[in-house]
Parts: sequence; structure tokens; C-alpha cells
Amino acid sequence: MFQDESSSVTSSSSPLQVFSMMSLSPNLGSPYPWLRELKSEERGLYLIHLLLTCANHVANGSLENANIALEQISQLASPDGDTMQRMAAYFTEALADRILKAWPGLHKALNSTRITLVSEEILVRKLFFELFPFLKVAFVLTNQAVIEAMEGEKMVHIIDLNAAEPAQWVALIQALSARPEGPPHLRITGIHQQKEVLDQMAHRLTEEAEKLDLPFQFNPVVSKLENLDVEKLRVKTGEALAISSVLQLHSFLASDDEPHRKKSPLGSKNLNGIHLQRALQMNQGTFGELLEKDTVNGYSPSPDSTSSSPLSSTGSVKMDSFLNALWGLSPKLMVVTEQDSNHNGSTLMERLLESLYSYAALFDCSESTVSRTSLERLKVEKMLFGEEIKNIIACEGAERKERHEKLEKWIQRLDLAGFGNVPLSYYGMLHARRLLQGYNCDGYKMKEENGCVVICWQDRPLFSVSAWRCRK
Amino acid sequence: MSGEAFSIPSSALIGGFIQDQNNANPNPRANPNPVKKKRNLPGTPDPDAEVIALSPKTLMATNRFVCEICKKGFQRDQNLQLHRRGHNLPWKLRQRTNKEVRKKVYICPEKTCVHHDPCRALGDLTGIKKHYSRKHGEKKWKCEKCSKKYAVQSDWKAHSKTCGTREYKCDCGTLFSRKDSFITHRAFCDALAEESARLTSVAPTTLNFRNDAMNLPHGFTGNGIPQFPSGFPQDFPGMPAAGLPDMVQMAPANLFGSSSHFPGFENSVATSSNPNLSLSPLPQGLKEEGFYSDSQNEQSNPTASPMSATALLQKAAQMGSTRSNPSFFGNSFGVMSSASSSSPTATNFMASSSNVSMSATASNNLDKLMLQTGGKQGDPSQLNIHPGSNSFDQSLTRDFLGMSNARPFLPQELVKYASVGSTMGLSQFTSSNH
Repeated sequence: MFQDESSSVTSSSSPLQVFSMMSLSPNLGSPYPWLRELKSEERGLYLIHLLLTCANHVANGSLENANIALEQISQLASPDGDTMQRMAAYFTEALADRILKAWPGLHKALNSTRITLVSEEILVRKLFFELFPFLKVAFVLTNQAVIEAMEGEKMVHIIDLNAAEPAQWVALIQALSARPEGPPHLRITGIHQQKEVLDQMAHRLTEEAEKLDLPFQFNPVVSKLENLDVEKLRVKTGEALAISSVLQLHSFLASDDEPHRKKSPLGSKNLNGIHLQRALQMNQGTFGELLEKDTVNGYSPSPDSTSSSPLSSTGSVKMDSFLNALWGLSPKLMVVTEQDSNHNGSTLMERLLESLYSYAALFDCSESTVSRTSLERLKVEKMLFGEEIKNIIACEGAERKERHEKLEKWIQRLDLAGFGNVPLSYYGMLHARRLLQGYNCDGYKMKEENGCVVICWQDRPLFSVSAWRCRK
Repeated sequence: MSGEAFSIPSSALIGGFIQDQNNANPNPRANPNPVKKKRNLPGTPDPDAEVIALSPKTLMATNRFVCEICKKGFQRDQNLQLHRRGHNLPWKLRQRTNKEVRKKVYICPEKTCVHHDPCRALGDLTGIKKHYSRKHGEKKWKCEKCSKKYAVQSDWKAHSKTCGTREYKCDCGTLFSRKDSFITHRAFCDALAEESARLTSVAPTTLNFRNDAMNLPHGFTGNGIPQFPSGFPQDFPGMPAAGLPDMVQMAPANLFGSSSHFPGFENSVATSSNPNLSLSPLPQGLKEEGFYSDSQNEQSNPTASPMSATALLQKAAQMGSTRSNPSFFGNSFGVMSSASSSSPTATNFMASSSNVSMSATASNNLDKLMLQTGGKQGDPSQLNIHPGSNSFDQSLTRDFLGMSNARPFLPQELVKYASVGSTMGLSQFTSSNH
């Protein structure tokens, strides 16, 4: 019976047709009045359904249907609504952006007058740092690892791959100056695209160092990380080097050379089509098998996913050379903080589904900790989360920089690049846990995995912190 | 050979020690050779020394020492002596003619230079040559790394060794190779005194991450409002209202109707007649079929707060299990990830969806639901069974894993899955939260 249903269903109309049917009903004033009557939960579920539907249409290239779905979502989604409404708003914007990329001229024209204020970007980063504990935990763990690795060292050189937040190093300066053996001579090389940020950082840090009488020097390097000339870092012999990378490495995975790169930005029509056919033809069992093969959480072994191979052979050239360059500096310690989600699937749907979960957790976290009317929250959600979502969903190839991957992958990758894992210390984790507890929110969780720390919201891992040394 | 000599007291002979009748040292106070030659300040010569003034040409001549016999020039006196031996000179000339040589000091030929004054003469010929080059000469040597130019080759070499290996840099941009000079400079540097009050209006938090000073700004602790996602029994109406600053704006408690059951909307389904709700051709049918999962499930997890997005996703995934066509959502269960505490069903739901053409199957399900308006209670009725076991997910896992044996879904299995409902997702929440 079940089979009959499935077979009989294949020929039935799409849900969107149903919707359009409804719009013709005479007793409906506006196209979808019933939408507004939905309660929050129903609305949320419906939004999910619509999002998936729309994404599927986008992936298949059926833009008309996608458009209808977008229209419906727009009735429900809102950046200042509840969690699901907000998420839907950003996801649909991303999907719409993706569709629009099929008309490059149109896309460029619409984006040509966009003004990106550096001050706003800086503000948003600051807000993210302050509203959520993720970065703070990463900093605590990083600093503790640095302190422990640099025991006994007189000359310490730290390279910060994204020197945006002085608080991290202020804390380190304070900790180092209180060292029983006396403070080391500390040099921090900060890399950032914007000179103003580095200036501010330099000022703040030297001020702190002078206050505590710690010999200190800040070297600003104004550069995009991908264009970084490692020579400019001026690493000297005789000094102990530590590298801190907070959410920076994943952008090196971006490249144009993807094995199954879809020509159109709309996604893999063929692949999804094939799956559809198989889905319809197979019985449940084999379908189950098919699905067993295609898992999320970064373990998808399907051949069309670049994330399937242990280390994607493509897109990792930049990564390999960068890691090599770092390895060549012989750092005593390298602490890597990354998002712990698989947002680097090769198909749109993979990425959409994974990111739905991850950002659901982030938006839940945001909802639980910040007021709905907070403008700061809105800014972080729009300019940070929303932009990440847009990059994950709408972009492909070298443009898609937010290539988050699971911790396992990073461990593999760093290991292959010649780094040995240094387990994060118990003391550091204790610090971090206390910090989280200070937030008085049960949702934040921290767990240890192979010597690395994963910061979660409820059950969902969000960020991972791991420490490495140069293995010769 | 000597170039033009300026008339300065005493002879102006340069060159080797050829002259026999050298100026007998009128001054008996020639320096005894000290054990360690004390270095005077530059330009404070021994008052009894002989001052020699050379022309620029002579000064810069590379081959000062000239053999009088063949006029061959040498840079060093020793080399000249060696050369002279070859001329088979009479014995006496080979000797150093005078035991004692009066100390010579040199003045810079450049009139404007401070070392032009005999009182500030320099004691070393090499020194005066270098001085003259550095100050008044042309800089012919250029550092490769930076753009610094040097007139004296040894200066250039010395610089090249340390160029780029500088230790210190002040904020104003000056570089220092020495710590003391760096520190001294910094103490007086203007750049540090500037207050840069640009950029963000957000006051930077000076968080001390040490455990002894967990200075979380007050506002943050205020923000740590535990709004438990819907489904936490303990929190309803659980608005952590009082006393916390930035209150989380909880959705109105009556969102889900007056019931404190979760999912509250079930009651609204039952109580409110909302013809506009859901798809218009079959609003009732939709509800009855538990489009949003089984309405009969009385797992009373009280909630009036809106469901978290995560819970919604999980629920959406489980909704697939309630459908007669599990190929939509239900297949998700075929892919249970390794017993992670994260909601497997939701995960798998998404997994399956990624590979299933959502539109097709979704439409299938949706259509089916629509077709099953009212009367046709085939599957839906079965779906509305409620085992309500919290261990459902595990059983679900097992069963679906059994799916790989190519067994089609049987109605009775559907029953089991149907009971999942929304509570299952929440039970996962509750179980994993403490």
C-alpha cells in the first residue's frame, strides 16, 4: 500500500500548484491570508518546508517555482520576528542572491552602490565578541596554551592572523606580566586588512604593556590574509613563535577548482535530478541505503562532494601552501579556532541543510540571550550571520569563502601539514568553563574531543579550538 | 710623493717613513705606549700630536704609499715595504728610520666641517678618510633591502647584515636595533601620546580572562537569560522576567492557546476552529492528519515560549515519520549518525532531504495529506497513536537502520514512528539539557 502511494504520488501536482489553487479561492481576500493566522510553531515549520522547497527549486533551476516559494516565505519571514522568521529571512535572501547570480549583470548592478562602512564592520565584530562567549572562550584557551607553551621563554613572538580584538592580547599581556619567572619580551605581529584596526590595537596593547612594564612591541601588517607575504612577518631566530588563527583558515579552502563545479550558480540540476529519479524508483530499502551513504555532519562519502575525500584534493592548494608557509616558520605553538560545522558540501542542498542546523543553533542562542528588540542583535544577525549564510548559499568557487568544516577534517589536514596536536590543558578548559558559566545560560556547552575543545549551543557544535605544534 | 700640503705647523709629509731626518720629536712627552689605548672622544686629539692636513684628493687617494723608486702605489705601508725589498735597497733604508714616531692627527680638508679645526682633528688616517667620505662624499653604496645609501663600503656592509633584522619599532615608525635607544625614544615619542579616538562607539571591554578576575561586564550577565527553548518543562510560563535587564521578549504565552501542553498548537488545533489555517482546501484535514504531528500526543511538556529553531527543525524532520511516505522525511532515519547526542532525526531529515528532491516528495506528502481530507483516515489515523516513549528515537534508529534491508514501510511501523510527534524532539532537548 505504501508503495502504491508513493507511485501514485509521483504524478501528482506539486505543492506550489496547490498553493496557487488556493489563491483562486473566492473567500480568500489576499493571496495567503491563512499564512498570517499561523501560530509561531506552525509558521516555523512551514517556513522550513518552504525553504527546503525553494532551495530545491533553485538547485533544479526551476526559477518560477522558486520565485513562488520566495513570495510565500516573504509573507512569513522577518528579521525582527522569532528565531525561525529571522533565519528564514536571511536564508531566502541568500537564495535570492543565488538566483540573481544567474544574471551577472543584474547582480552586479544591484550591488554596485552598496556602501560597506569599515566602522560598521568593526562594530559588528565587536558586538559578536561581546554578546556571545564563543570568541572569549577561544581567546581564553588560546592564551592559556600560549602561556603554557612559552614557559621559560624569554622572547615570545605571537602572530595573530586576524588582529581585530585587543582584548585577547590584553589578557595575555596581563597574564605574562604576572609570570613567576618574570615577563618575557613580547612581540605581537598583527595582520589585518584595515590599518585603522591595527592602529587601534597597537595603541591599546602598548598602553597595557607599558602600564605593566612588559617589554613589548607591536608589528602591524596591513594585508589580506590570502596575500600575506610570510617574509613580512619577520620571524627571528631565537624567539619562540606562536600563531593564533581565529576563524581564518577556512577561507583558504576557497578555490575555483572544484571537481564537480556546477557551471550555473543555481546548483546541480543533474545531480538532484538523478537523486529524484532514484528516489522515486527505488523502494524504501534501497533508498534508505542511499541515504545512509549521504550523511551530514561532514561525513558524507558521496562522490560528488568535495568533502568526501579525506582532504579534498582541489581547493586545498592555497591551504596547503599557506600551512606550509606557517610550518616553515617553525612555530612552537599554533592555536586554531574554527567553526565546527560542515558548510563546505559541494551541493547547494547539502550546504543548506547543514547550515540550517548550525545557524538555527546560533539564532536560538541569540534569541535566548539577547532581547528581540536589540539593534545590536539585529546587526550581528544581519551583518555577520546573514553574510555568512549568503556566502555559503549563494556563492560558489573562489567567491565562497565561508568553507567551514568539521573539526575532524581540520585535525586531519593539520596533521598532514606537519603539525602535531597539543592537547588543550585542563586548566585552560577550566577557565573557559567558568567563563561560560558566567553567562548564566544553560545553553552554552563545552566538550572535549581528542584534546580539542568544542563549544556548543545545546547539542549543536558550533566552534572548535585546537592547539598544534610544529612537528619536525 | 705628496700632494699639496697646506701650511700648517710642521711638515706635511705623508707617505712612508722614508724621511730619515724626521722631525725629531721636540716634545719629550710622547705618549708612552699604554697597555690599553684609551679611545678619546672623536675630535679631541692629543695636544702634542702632529697635525697633518691633506687635500681631498690626497685623502681619498687609494694608494697613498708610493715607492720612490718605481712610483708604484700601495694602499698599505706594509705592502710598500715588502715591495721595496725587491728593489735591493741599501740596508739602512730598509730600516725603520726613527724609533719614535710622533703621533699624527688629521684634519678634514672641508672648511665648513667641524673637524677642519686642528683642535678637533681626528687621530686616524683611515678615520678621517671615512669621515670625509661619509660627510662630504658621494654615497655610492646602496642597501638592497631598504633604500639607505652609504659612502663607505664597510658601513654599507655592516648595515646590510642588520637590515631587516631590527628589533624594535616605535609606533611612529622609527626603527631601532638597540633596546635602550628604543625605550628612550618611546618615552618621548609623540605618537604614543596621541589619543586616537576614532572608530567604534562601543567601548572596548577589557576582559581579563584570568579566573581570578572574571570581569564580565554587567550587561552580559544580564544577557545570560536562560530562555529555555520550548519544551523545557520547567520554564513555562517561565519567563525569567524579573530583575534581568535586557529581557528576552518572549512570545506571548497565549501563542499556543491557553493550554500549557506542548506542542501547544495541538490544542489550538482542537479548540480553535481556524478555517484559514493551513491549506485552504483542507484545513481540517491537515490538522487532523497531524501535519504538524500527532495532535493526540499528550506528552505534556509545557511550553508557551516559541519553539527554538533547532526544535522546529527536529520536529520538521520527525514530521516525515508521521507521513505515509517516509521517503520524504522518514528516510532520514535510515541514516542515523553515530549516536551523537545531537538530534539524529533532524540531522537525518536534513540529510535525506539533501538527496531527495524535496519538491517532488514534499508535494507527494502534501498532496497526500490534502487528498486525505476528512474521511480518509487510512494512514493518518494510524499516525495519531501515541506511545510517547522518549526512547523512541533509539528504536526509530534501529528500525530505520533495518530499512536497509529493503523492507518497505509497513503501516504498523508507521504507527511507531507516528507517535514521535513533536515531543520527541523536545525530549531530546530535555534529556540533553540539565
